[in-house]
Amino acid sequence: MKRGDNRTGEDYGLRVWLLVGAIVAGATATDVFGIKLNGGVVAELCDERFDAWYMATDTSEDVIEEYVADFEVLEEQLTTMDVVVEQRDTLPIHRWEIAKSEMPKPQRIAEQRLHLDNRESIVPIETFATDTLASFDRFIDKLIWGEEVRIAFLGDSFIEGDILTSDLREKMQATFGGRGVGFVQCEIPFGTARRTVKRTTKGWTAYSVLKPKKNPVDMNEEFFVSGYTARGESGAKVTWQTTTAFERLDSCTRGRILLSTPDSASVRVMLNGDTTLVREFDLVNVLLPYQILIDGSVDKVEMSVTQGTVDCYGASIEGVGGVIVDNLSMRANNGHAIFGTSAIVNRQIDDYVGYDLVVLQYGLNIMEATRTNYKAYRDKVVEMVAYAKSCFPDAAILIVGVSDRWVKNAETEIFEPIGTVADMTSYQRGAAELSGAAFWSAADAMAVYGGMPGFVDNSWAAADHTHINFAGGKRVGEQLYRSIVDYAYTRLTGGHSAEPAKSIEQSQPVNIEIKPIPNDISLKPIVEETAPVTNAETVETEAVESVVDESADMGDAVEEMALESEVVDIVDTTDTADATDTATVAWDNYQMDAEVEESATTSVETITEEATEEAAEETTNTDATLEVDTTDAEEDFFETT
Amino acid sequence: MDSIVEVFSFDATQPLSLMSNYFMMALLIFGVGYLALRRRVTLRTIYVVCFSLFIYYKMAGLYLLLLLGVAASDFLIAYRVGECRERGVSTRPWVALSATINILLLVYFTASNFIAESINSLYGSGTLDWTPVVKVVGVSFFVFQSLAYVIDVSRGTIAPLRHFESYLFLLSFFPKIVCGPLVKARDFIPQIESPQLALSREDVGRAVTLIVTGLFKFTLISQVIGTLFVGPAFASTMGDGGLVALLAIYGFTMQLYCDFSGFSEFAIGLALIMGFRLPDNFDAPYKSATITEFWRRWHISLSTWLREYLYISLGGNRKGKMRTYVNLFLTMFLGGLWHGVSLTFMAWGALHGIALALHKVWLSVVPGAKKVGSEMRPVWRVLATILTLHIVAFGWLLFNAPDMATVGTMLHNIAHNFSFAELGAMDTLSKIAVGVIVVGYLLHYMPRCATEALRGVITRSGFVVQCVVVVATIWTVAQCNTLLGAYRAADRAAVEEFTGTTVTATNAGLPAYGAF
Repeated sequence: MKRGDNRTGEDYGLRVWLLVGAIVAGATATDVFGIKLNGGVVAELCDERFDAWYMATDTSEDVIEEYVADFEVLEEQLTTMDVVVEQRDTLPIHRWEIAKSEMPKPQRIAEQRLHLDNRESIVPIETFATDTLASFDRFIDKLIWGEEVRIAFLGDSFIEGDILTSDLREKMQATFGGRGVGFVQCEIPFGTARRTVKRTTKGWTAYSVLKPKKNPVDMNEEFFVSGYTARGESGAKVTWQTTTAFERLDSCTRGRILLSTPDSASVRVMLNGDTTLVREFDLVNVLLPYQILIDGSVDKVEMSVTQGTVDCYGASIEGVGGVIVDNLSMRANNGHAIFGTSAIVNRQIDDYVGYDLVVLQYGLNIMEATRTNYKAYRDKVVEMVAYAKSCFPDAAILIVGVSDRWVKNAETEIFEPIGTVADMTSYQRGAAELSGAAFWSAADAMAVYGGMPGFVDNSWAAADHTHINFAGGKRVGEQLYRSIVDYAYTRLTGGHSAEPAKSIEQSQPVNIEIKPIPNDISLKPIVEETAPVTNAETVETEAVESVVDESADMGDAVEEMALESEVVDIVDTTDTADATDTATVAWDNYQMDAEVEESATTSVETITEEATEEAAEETTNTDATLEVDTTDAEEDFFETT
Repeated sequence: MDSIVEVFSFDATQPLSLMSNYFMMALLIFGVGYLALRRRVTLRTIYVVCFSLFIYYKMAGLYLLLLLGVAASDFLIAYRVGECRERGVSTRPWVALSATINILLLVYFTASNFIAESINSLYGSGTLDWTPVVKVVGVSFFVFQSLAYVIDVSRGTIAPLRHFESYLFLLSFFPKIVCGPLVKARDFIPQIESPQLALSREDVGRAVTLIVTGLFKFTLISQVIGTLFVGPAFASTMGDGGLVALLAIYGFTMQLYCDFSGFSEFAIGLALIMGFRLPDNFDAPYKSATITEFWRRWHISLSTWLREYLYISLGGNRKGKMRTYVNLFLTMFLGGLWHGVSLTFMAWGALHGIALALHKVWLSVVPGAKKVGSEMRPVWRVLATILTLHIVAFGWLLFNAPDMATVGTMLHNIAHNFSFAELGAMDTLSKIAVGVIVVGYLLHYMPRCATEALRGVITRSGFVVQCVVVVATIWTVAQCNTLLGAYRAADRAAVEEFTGTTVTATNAGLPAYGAF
């Protein structure tokens, strides 16, 4: 490094500091003379990028084109299930009770709570029910009568990440009670993370029902309607924790983990990060999925696989009583994925958790700008409904019509309506009519706000004019909530009702035989039967109590184990049918009873909000259920850790 | 009163960056005093040391004490070593002590997280209750600088320093504290103790050029490429296209070079303002035709350090061919670990170690094999340069990937998912970034006379022109930072909106022009 010559001994040392001064002056002046960030260009470029990234669809070639409904296989599966259940002494439930969880006493909701101040632009729920047993009306009645109600919201990427369902859940829980986020998967291969629950996973491989070629063979036989199963070996860990994104997500009182194993496994579960709330559970392959049921205050569930291989469907953190909404979304699914799931797993999980409404929200992936005839899809939807009814016999089915969608004109580069929303909607309505499901048009709900353009303008949807975001989901979810409440109000008071459904274009109706589910299948676990229907309460309570009396006489664990299966049979052969029949009668007579009650002017009508909530905390028949629990020696419930 | 305290105290959420308004302001104020004291050696030394320590405090908070501790410890040890040499006693124990302290310190900051995680995963999580150790600014560098001094004293290359402030100066000199260049004590100490630090016109021109090109490379090339393209690509946010992955590797190659060389040039320019000459750290490394040449052009001060203090200490090439290869490999492997302890860094170090050893074999086996490109015929030189560039780029893939799985995925994508159509499918921001990558390579491969010509122009220009150039650069850099900041904010917002998690903004280490 040469020293450099000093011309006439001149020292440039001072000058260089003046240059530093210039730098400082320039730096401090950049705010004044800088480019004003106009939101325009920068925001546009960012939007272009982020909309593409965060809403990118999975274009992997391994996605299966189309599952086909095979009702014969469905029948076979259910028959196999009967055999398995009969052969087993106990159902694969592990119960862990850290505190008594009390089912709120069912109480009819006050009319005022269902009264909506603003009835403008409510999109009606249209019903075509022919079968009153699992009709939408029955679902509404359960809501009105304060029973614990569980909704399975099946959909595609439209509701991914708990979009729409989180707001629906919040509003339903605020009115009808309930807490928690409901079902969350263990690990999914891709997809938007939810803000309603924080999930961390390590060491799991997620398998999708839509990619059967990528899955181990046994996995393809065991999918739940959630569509994803995660397989983990020893060392795999998963944590589910509720967030406070919504008011009623925390302070949950029940947790469930749904899982199975191809051979045998052990898992270790820790609750709420408390090292004193740790338990190990053993699993063996029994063809039916396991449930680890946790009663008590649950907000965080951590499960690690200590041994063997575990196939985890997911977990649910929920409140006892009220409304539980399970978001079961699968990207790129037009609804056909349900045919690839296992009826056994679906039925058994339905047994554990008890779905009362299954919502089918599909269509976005099928709708095309150039196609107006969706008859084939309509017939497929009818099959979906039948399939869902077989898997979830007590649930009503609600078909949600396709959402509004605009597409970019390739030449003009301007967004315009896709043009076939009305066609798709009418075919979906037709499917509801053919299958006896209920129908609600999401496109009409979005039209209230100006359709998709209105959503995009308000930043409630992505610039692709196809997917709504959380803010948009809030609007649509609220609309659905209002429709449900309006329907309930109508049913309760007989007041202003929604317009009856319109008819569909004439075409050959599909002859789908919806097979009635035989009533003697012993699927009901003894312990978490929800509070029985009020009118049939006396009958069913007697049935349960008789069961309890018998078991309470026994002291020996082994005998009690055997008794459980007998107990099952008792409920099974004698009372279930009676109870359900009574229930049917009860529901049919509901209107009469309602009138009687009204005239009697009981304290029900004068109950204020606080009272309703207090009532929700009263205990019902859990004493009885508790005693039945302690009998199972295989699972030592009250071993303190 | 409070805000005055705030101005002078360390803010852990926004540690100071040398490329910020705050630093420039502080430098200006410092300059006033410096101009007054620049001929009085002792006072000047103490003044600069105080300022350097203050700057380090603003960067690393209480870890300043660590710097002082290392300085004190090695100063005293070197003194002892000097005494031992005089008395003819073996200096080994003292050198070993210094080496142990320094290496342990380095290991603590670099490797402890890795070790703790390994223990936890081997014996079950929770075995070790471990809060991750955050790497402190400049530790890797001043530890090496300090160790070099002790070893130099033990070899008799220099006499142990008598004045502690001089040694502190060597270690803490603020332009080079963040990331070098590592200086040779025997070159730098005379400068510290020189009473006459005059600057010629050429020096001024050189300083201005260095600062301008340094800022340009660091922000306008490296930050742009990294934020808009390479970062998302390595985080697998950009899909699984092969062309994108390949461009990301080329992009990272350019990004890392511009980032590091830009900052180094900026630092050398800063030092030159004060009259101190730091050695060049980079010499158009991607023009290298062989891997041996690469390490003479890339991070020159570190490879010099590794050669002098590690390779030669291990025996260099004095213990036979086989041992030479082993020494090469070990040196490079440890060089990889110096950057961080993870499988990817180890793989990177191993790759370069093997490549260097293989080149040595090639040199000895193949007749007419050349060591450096300038000795080769043009055609061979071009081919060799392309080959070397790709070996190095592949090494950077290992260096930058978050884990080995990402490496595998990216290579798989390049092999199986490659399509030129991806270029058209990229969004505008990516296209801008790719354009910048291309510009970076074009500028890099310009002949040396072009860069010399630029420097000549700036040197010969009048004072006003130089001011304008400097202000224009700062202005451009500030605008670029504002735009990138807006992009980062939009990215955070998009991530939050679509995933519902809150992302904490980190501004650590980013230049802050455009926002005081």
